[in-house]
Amino acid sequence: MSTENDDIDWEENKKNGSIEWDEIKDNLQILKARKEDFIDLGNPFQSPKASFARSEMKLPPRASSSRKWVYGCIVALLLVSAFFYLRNAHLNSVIEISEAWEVSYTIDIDYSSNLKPIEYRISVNFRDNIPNPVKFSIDGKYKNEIIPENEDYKLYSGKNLPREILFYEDSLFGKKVIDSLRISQPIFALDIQNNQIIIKNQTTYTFYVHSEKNYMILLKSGEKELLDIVPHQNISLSLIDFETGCVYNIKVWVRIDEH
Amino acid sequence: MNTSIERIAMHYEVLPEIFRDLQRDLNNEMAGFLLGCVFSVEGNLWLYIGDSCPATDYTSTHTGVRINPRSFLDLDKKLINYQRNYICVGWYHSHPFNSDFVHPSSVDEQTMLQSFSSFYHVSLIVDPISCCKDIWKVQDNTIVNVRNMISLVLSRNGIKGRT
Repeated sequence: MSTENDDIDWEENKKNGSIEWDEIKDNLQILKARKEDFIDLGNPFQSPKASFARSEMKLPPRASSSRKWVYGCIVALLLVSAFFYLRNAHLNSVIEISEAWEVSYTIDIDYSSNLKPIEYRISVNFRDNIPNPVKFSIDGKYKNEIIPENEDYKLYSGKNLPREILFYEDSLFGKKVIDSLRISQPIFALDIQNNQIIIKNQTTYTFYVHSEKNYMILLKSGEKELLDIVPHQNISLSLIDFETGCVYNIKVWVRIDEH
Repeated sequence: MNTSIERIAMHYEVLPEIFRDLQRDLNNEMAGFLLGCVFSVEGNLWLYIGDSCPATDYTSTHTGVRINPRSFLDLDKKLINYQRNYICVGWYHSHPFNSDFVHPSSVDEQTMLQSFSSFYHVSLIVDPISCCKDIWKVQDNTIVNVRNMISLVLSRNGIKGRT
């Protein structure tokens, strides 16, 4: 889908119009625009129920039939080129096939009451479009196990966190690496003080913290977050590392002596 | 500089897309994110909502929804597709109660205050059965209704909306 004038240069707009905003730490940029840049179609929130009829939204008239023919031809040409492009990509390039995969990694970490990791569990989920059976190796040790499609498949459980997991598929020329997971450890630090658990981002980038009580906390590099805890209760929180696409599910067994 | 939004401009295709997404499950709540940016229009700040991103991983019941972490990866991917010209400007979720009005629950209010309290964040609630919808934002630590500030728009001249 597209809007009118999609070929506008954002960078140019930023150069000409962006306002420096010291108070805002995010990537938020305020760009300049004019009222005429927006064609007002009305406020559907004023009426109690939604209506999306084209006439009620004051949309401009649809294209004439001759223009429709032109658009139709362009779309047909695009579809034909897309077909040949995808066909060639499928035949020629393993990498391009693998990029079409949806893959997610999950690392479950159980901590003891003194915040020592007890167990790490790593699982992977290849969602759809796996061309061939996928196998893997952990820190150089090849495992002769096939990862099923669309399933959270447990790759590892143990006391130490591996550094690298490689994913392979068999090809005519032997095993080809098709994906890899490099685990940065540790990406965060946990500390318990005064019935609060302190989580600190030790990376250079931002990640999200997602906890039972306060979810979706954005934690920037070097920042800390304090979460209230209740003694003798478990804490569950998740961190999302956008660098590797890993979700870290952290379970802490809190046992604080009450005096 | 004044950090209050004067107007909310939503691309006209976004609301129907959100309805279509939320109408996939009329028994349980569903949720997603709103994507857009902030414009300075003749000295005033306008929030532009240019796209939505349904949460793909969530836990929900008839009366509650929780967005799970994997959904943030999908959100991040979508923001990368926009070369980070867009940011997350809020969230939406459904109240499938077939009611003539929608109103945030206490959990919704907590979520708004904790996670979507920036001046450019809005929270949209939709009833996918009755087609009621309403929108709120956090202002001075209180939740205010901003339905009067919103309008659907077509954008042009430099406002690249969608890909």
